[in-house]
Amino acid sequence: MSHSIGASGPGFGEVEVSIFGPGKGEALALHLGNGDWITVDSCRNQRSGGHPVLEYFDEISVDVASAVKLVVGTHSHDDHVAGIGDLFEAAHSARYVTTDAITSVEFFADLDADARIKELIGTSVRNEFRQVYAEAARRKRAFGLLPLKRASEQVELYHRPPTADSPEIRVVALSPSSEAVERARRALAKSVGGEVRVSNTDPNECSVALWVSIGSEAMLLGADLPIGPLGCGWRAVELTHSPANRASLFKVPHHGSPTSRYDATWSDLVSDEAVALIAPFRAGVTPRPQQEDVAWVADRAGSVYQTASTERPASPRAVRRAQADLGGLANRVWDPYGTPGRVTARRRPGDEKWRLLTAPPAFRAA
Amino acid sequence: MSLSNAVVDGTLAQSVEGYELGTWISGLRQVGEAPRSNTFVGPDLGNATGVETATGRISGGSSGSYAKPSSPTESAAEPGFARGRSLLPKSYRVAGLQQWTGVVVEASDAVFVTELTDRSSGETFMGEFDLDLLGSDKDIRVGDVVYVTARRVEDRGGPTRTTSIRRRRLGRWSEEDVRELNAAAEKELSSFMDLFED
Repeated sequence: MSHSIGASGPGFGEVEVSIFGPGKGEALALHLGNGDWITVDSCRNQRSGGHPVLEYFDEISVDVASAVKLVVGTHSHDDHVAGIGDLFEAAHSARYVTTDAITSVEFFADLDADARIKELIGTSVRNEFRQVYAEAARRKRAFGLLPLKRASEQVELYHRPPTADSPEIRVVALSPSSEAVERARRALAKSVGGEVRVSNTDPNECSVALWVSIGSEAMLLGADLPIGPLGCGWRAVELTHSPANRASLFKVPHHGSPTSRYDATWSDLVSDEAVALIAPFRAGVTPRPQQEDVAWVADRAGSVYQTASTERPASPRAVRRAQADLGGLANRVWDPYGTPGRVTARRRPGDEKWRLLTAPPAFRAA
Repeated sequence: MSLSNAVVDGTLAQSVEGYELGTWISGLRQVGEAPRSNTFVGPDLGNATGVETATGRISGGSSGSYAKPSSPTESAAEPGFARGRSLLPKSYRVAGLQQWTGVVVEASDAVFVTELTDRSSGETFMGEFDLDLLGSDKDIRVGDVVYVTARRVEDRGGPTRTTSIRRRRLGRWSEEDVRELNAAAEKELSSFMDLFED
């Protein structure tokens, strides 16, 4: 199998973790060495319509079709995975990893309900999932492949044995727990029945947190996993995951929000000098991370990087026009997306630390 | 909706026909009134049976749950009602109409946040609104839908801008709907599971 890594990409044996956002969603791209990549979630540049991960791969001359081995969707809601359908379609050699929480009748009833609601109001929250599903079905029909993998706690998603030139690679899902999957099933069952509403049952407790180990190095990718409730989230991970080494890089869950701050995660799974990566969230009443969120993370990590500022970006003309039109009715109107930034962390075998690169508007926050 | 011969150039009629019901329009004035710019909000009257007495209400349209338009003669005596051909002056013209569909993404005791999609361009942005604007429809939840409009009206006295927000109730799932959805889901899940390697 051939691969190509351009001059500005990671070296053949170099590990890379790049985080992109915010767009609609956030995304990660990991180079596992030997030209093998995995991606986690996806985002769209709402200003340009572009796909930051695919554009980055193009920039560093990665052949997406052959190099990407796994496309992980930690959620199935469009807000978290905008563009993942396009990414999966481009990654011909990749398996798609989905949370086990959607392998239920209740999810598919919710999916079909979403389709009916789309006919009423023109909006859907499961477009990306449908695109992935259609592509997976096409690959099975055309090539006899089984392109999907289910993720739940302690399921190994990817393994590359060690060779003389490269260390062993393991990608293991830390969530969702079986309790979280059952809770999701019950919540989805309630979503169809009663008043018709756009689906909002995409609980963060069912998102897929990942442990990536490359030789003796480890990375913790926290998705949007919250602390609990009991039997779910980081509370469950604490009971099921006891690695030999702590992670030297941590994708901070849920934009640094307090709902995902769990002391045991930091003390047991993340090294004191770890690089912490955060993509902000600006669509809610309270943007994240706030200053105190960054300070909390900085107290426990060696450094903190954000892909963009938490401050809402300057609005494009169309939003400013809407702002003028809705003055007096809306308290405020804003564009939450702006331009996605990128933070890239790279490490060669034998390096003591990660090397950090930022593409604007990304910056070091602490 | 029988406004097609009223007003004017068809713009008002078109905007009313294309618009869901129950919306308050504040800019209607009697000829000779001073121009004003108002912001009106109104409750979703989706299940109302046409009880409207305040000025500025336009009713009618495609949803069966709304009041049917009354005949022109019935409304002729009601000042400000845009019904029939008799009430709106010929100079009245809707010069601009913006429409957004909003899906509620966050709701608290006082405010709610929606992702608004421009119905013509598809562009999206976020908007925060006071819950009080929804009147009796304040029991809003994440996933609920609102319609927001901004309308610019020109009349002899000058331009008027009006904005409105209302909740769009999408109805209720019937038992038959739920049965159909679940039956289809069983089949789809079975096909879906055939795509997994484990």
